[in-house]
Amino acid sequence: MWKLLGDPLQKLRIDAVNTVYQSSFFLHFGETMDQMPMVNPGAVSWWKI
Amino acid sequence: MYVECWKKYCQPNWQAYAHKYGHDLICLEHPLDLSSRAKLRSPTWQKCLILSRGFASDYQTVVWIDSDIVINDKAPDVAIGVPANKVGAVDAYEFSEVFPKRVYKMWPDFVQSPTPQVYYRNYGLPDDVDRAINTGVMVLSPSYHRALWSWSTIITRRKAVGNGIWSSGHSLTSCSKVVTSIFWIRAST
Repeated sequence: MWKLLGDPLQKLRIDAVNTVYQSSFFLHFGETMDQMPMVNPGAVSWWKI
Repeated sequence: MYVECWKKYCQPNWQAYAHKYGHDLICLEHPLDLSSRAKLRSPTWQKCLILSRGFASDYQTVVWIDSDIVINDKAPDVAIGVPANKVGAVDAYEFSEVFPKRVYKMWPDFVQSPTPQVYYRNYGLPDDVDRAINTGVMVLSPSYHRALWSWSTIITRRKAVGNGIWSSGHSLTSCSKVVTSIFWIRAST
């Protein structure tokens, strides 16, 4: 059984943003700039965010 | 807010990208047009003025990138492969059908334009154009496009007088099929 630490929805958001970032050359945030801090430019794969 | 956000989250990877491909990085921190009309409409319109700035004449190619874009360090040089007489841009409608539905759900006030034809129609333009671009990233050649950009500013200013909806910022993408026909559209970023 997994024990969820912190806000699981926030974890999902971070994973989603970084998955998109790693799949893009230029990630355009538009009106969602508040999600910009979630990007980990050093991440090498979506499961190592 | 935008400048601080850009410096904190974008400048490092933009600087690395510029260094990697031999570009100079120029950050425009202030509006290019300070007129009362400019203040009343979206800053997107200011993109029409970038090629008329002094720095632009020093370069063969200018790559415009919106300040709300983070660059992946694996990104290739976007200027490569764009013919000098064309404007490099990204097709705004290459996304899946799911994407616009989610956008409209997130921003209910957003003008719904599920197809390029509807997009043009919504802004009072002829709809005999089958593509529209996103102006977040553009590759420009000042020597080829300076006059066109100035021209598009004049066109959009005239439109702005006649139709308030134009003030929403859809300047370059919506000018006319004459303008869009000079774009060299890349499938994705």
